Amino acid sequence: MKDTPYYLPIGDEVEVFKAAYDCRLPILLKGPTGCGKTRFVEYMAATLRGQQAERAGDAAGLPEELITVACHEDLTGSDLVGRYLIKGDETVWIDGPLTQAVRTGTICYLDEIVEARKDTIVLIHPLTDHRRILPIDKKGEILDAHPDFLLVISYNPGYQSVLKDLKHSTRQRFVSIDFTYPPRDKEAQVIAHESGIDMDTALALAKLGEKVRHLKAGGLEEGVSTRLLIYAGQLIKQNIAPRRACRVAISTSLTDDVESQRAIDALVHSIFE
Amino acid sequence: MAVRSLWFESHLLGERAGKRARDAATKLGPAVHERILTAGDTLAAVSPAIAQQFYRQAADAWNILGADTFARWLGLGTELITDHATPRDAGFGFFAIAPKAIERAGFEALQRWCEHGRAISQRSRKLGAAFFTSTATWVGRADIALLEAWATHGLALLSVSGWRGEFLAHAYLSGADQALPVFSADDCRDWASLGAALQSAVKEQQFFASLPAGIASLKPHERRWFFGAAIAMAHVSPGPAATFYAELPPAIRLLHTNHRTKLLEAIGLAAPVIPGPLADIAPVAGALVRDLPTAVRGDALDLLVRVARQFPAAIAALLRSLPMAYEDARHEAVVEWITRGLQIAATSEEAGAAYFALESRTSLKVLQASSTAVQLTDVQGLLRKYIQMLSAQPVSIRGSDFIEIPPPLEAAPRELEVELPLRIDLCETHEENVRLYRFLSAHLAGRREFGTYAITLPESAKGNLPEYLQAPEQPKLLERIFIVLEGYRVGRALTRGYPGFGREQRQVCRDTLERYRRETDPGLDQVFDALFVWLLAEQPLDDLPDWLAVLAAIVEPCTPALAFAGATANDSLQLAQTLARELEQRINTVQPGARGEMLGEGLTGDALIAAYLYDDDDAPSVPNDMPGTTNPTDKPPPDKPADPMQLKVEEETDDGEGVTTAMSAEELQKLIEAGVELQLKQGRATDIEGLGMYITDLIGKVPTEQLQELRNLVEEASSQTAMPPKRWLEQRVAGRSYYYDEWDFHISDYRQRWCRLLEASIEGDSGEFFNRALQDYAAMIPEVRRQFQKIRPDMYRVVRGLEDGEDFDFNAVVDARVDRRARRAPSTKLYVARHREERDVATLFLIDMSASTDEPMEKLRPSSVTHEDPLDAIVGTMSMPSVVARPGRRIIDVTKEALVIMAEALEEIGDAYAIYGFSGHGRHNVEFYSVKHFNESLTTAVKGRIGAIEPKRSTRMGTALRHAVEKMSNITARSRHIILLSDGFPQDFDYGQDRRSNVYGLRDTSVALRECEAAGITPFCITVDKAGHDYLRVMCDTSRYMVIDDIAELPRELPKIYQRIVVT
Repeated sequence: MKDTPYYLPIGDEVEVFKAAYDCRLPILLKGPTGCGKTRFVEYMAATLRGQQAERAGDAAGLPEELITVACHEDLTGSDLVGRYLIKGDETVWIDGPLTQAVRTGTICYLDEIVEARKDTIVLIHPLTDHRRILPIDKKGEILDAHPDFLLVISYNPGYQSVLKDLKHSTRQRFVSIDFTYPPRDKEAQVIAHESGIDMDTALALAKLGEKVRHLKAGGLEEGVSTRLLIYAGQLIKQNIAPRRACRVAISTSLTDDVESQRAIDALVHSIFE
Repeated sequence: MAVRSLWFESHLLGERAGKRARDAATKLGPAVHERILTAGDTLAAVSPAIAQQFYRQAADAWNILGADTFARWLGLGTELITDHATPRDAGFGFFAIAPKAIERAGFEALQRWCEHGRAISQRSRKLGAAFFTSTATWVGRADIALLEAWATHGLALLSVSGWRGEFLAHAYLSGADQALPVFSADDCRDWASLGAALQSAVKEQQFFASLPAGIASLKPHERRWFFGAAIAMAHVSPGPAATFYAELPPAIRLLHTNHRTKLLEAIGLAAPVIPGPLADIAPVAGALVRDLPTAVRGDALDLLVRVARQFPAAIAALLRSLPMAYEDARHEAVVEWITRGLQIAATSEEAGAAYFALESRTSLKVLQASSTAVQLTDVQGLLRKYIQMLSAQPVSIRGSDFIEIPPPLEAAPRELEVELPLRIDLCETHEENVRLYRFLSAHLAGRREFGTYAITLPESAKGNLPEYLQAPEQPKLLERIFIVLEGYRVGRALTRGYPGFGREQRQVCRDTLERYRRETDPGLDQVFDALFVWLLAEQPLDDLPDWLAVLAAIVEPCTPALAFAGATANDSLQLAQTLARELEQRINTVQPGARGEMLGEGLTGDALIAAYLYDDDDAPSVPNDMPGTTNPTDKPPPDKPADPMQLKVEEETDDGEGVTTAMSAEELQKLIEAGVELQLKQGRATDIEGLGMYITDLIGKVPTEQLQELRNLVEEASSQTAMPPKRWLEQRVAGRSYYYDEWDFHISDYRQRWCRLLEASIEGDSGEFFNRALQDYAAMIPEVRRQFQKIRPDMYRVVRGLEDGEDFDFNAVVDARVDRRARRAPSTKLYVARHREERDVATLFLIDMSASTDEPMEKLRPSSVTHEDPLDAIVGTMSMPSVVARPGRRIIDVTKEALVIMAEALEEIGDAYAIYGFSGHGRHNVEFYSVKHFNESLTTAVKGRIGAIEPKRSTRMGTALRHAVEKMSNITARSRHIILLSDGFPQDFDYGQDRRSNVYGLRDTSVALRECEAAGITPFCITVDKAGHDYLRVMCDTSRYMVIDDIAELPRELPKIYQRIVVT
């Protein structure tokens, strides 16, 4: 049993998730890159599995607590459900990650679901209503979901375009929890905890993050993630000068546009002495 | 004896000179007197008046010249008047010469003078008379050689330009009194030649009647250059030469002679080549030279001479741009710049001219390459992002001609457009200048972040914050004080939030304060600006200049109230109001010469603090004995500054330091009202460049007509209603304006910031046109829609032969199985997958809204389509459902209809598109009309705007295309297109120097089209001009344009063209 990962609740998301899990309601997490969605799901999965283990008195028989699938443009239905492969003279059926989760009763987390193709997304529909079934058409099998199974998906409304929006038929099957970057003080706590730097520097980094995120409409595709701020903090902890740490961890990572990099550097220089 | 009574007794003795002459003659003894009288009698036989004139001088002549010379003198005079060729005036003039002068000149000289006079008289009695009368007084005073030269050149004029020669010579000979004291013999010759050469522009009498002011101060060799230049110009074009002759000497009078010589040499070399431009620049030539840095002035003028020798045509332009060049770069760099320019000029004269006028892109690049100045264009992307990050608002940046620290308040902060100086060159190094840019940006952002514009104005206040502060009922100093205090508050807030910036801010302010310290006679604006930087520099009060210390001592005690975290803009305002009222009271009651003391006396910081009530209980109390705080009541202002703000009088001299304050009319008025002793003098931006603005600074930077407008404005500015110049400049750039370079094929280079484009909006109709067009084309639209639906891409495409995929490719699996059985190596590519295809295009339609689109289209229809019989027309249109004969339709109407259909079709397919129109008048007024931008959907407002597109003025295509490219730069579509719809070739009244030729416009447009392609945007030109092939072929590739012969076909053709060219 792994340790429960660190997660600092920002609002009531923990309670909401628990409640939804109790009713086995599929959950949609919305929020920008690096704001803590994945960490949250890991945290919740670990917490819930811990409770189950407590109830069962033994964690040994329990399956993997979380199956994460990072969705991408070429993710097809068979990638999720499973496929036949030719092995020697045989064709062998291999379960996909979704099928595994449905069978074993694990939380399945489809990260950045909008990236996946629309025909793929439709696959999850019967799993996310009262039916809780997964039809595997290639095998002609209809799989009933394990009682502990839960589908969690996430998407980033930041770079949605008309083509990459979530269909209503999909989005209306989920309870959705909104994620944003944490407020400055909370983010500072997270940075301080994860990187081990002092609170003042963490606060300065959090302020930097907040300011850089303002640039999102003006040239940056994404605001700086908490993750990058933590990286910067870790570098500072290793005695890299703050300005330099921010340069390597933030401005250069965030964008290739030289002008934006210089602008962020100017801000870094304003914030750090 | 009868004769004697006539000349001697009648009048002569009645006058004092006559009596004196008689007394003197009597003293010589009766014999001598009788001899004189007898001589007089002889003369009187010719003219009693001459006899009288003789008698007046006779006794003196006897005494001074001696008896022998007296006899020769008398003989010479008698000979002169008895010669029939000489006029009477000759004798009169002769005897008018004082004997002393004769003694000085020598009798020889007198004889020679007479000979010349007689020689002239033989040619013309009138001229002779003029010579004798005008030069008689100069015998003995001027060298005889000069007089001879004078006579010779006068005589020479007689043979110039036919019968008018005599008039010329007469006017010239009568002008001796002006010329002889100043001129040398050579000058006389030049002056005469110039007068002759300018004859067609200036009347000879007028020309020879006076000399231009300041010509006397020129050294002989300078005069030679000057006359040489003027004559050379006069032979080419007399009008400008006359101006040049009259204006240049006073303008350069005060220059150092070395500088003047060089300048004149350069001008002399250029004179025959560019008379017009030299005449234009003559009145300001001296000012321009004085504008050059003192230390390198001589070297700079050497460069001017060097250019004059190799490329004289550029001299006028170079004289204008040299001061600017020296603002930008050090001397060595300017030398480089000149050298490069001469190379360019050697290949193309026009390119050279544009180069030296600092108009070409290359020129500016070469100059800036070595400069430490920072151009806004180089940093604005960075600063825009910096401000956006700090203030959380996306802003755009507009260039301003001024560097103002603190920056002025924005009238409309919600428009998210901030103003930053176009260039900063205040500091030594590039980095420091960039730092200053950052400082200004941070303050602009800070005002947003820390709520300057969130201020709560009283309910009675009208308008925005600046308007409130400038309202007539407010104290006049309120705005200035508020900006300072609020700037301080924001600056402190920034320091708290951004410690790194805080340090930078301190340094910037300290550096700026150092520059202010050198100031001795600051203007009101400068005093407040200096106060601002002092507050943020966090320096002690002690070593401030006197003019600042007084005000600083008053304001400083108020600052702790603004430095704490809870202070708001309203606190600044309240404090500013208290301060402003107090200060104004002082100023209004001030006596001349006592202003500084009045400011300091009695008015204390304590008083201000007492008046200031904290709303916030947590606000810190302000201790009187705060370290660094000086209480003015304890320590009166220093004794010395008798009147720190008085404007001193200073003689206009060559190299003196000037007051570098540019005051607005309003300020001047205030100071005058306050009784401050005020005298105007010429200021120069030597110390704190860029903090003020002079009209001469604008020479060459703004067009002549605007400069004139500004000049007039300043002259009129004494009246209350007139706008101060700054406001004028702001008004000039009101609305969003953009500057674009333009390609000049003459110089094979871009002309920098040549065209100003203004974005304008169109007042739409309520969509009638759009709906009517839909009805008119009802038969066609469904078909177009169907067509467009077809080009919508299939969503998926099956890809076979993959090593991994969604499903088996059964054929491949069977083959592989067969291969295995046959013991061949089977293929591993057994899977299929489906790939998604997307359509990702964006198209900008650029509509020519020139006046020519107002033409009724009937004229343009090919004759085969025009129908004599109305029935034919109906039949004809029915067979072509796209064309509806609505009478009186113009080209623009058809274009709009085509847009309506396009819009409908594009909505079907979902492609991103935008519609803009352009027109304009001249390079400063290119108009760009926004009809629909990319993010806008086809709303009623957009439909209305399409209907409201109307013909305007000219067609400056290049600039409009460049702006369209700019508009598309934020669009991320994979395939981007600009479709240009026009009805003729590019045209504008100043699109190239030759109005009749359209080559300039064509070349610029074709370069703009190439820029489009370079930016990854595919341009396509559609024209309804049947002659379009001729020029479009020159402008772009044949696959990139289309000429529509029958304009009525445009609505039908446009969607087809779109389908063909817009591919992903």
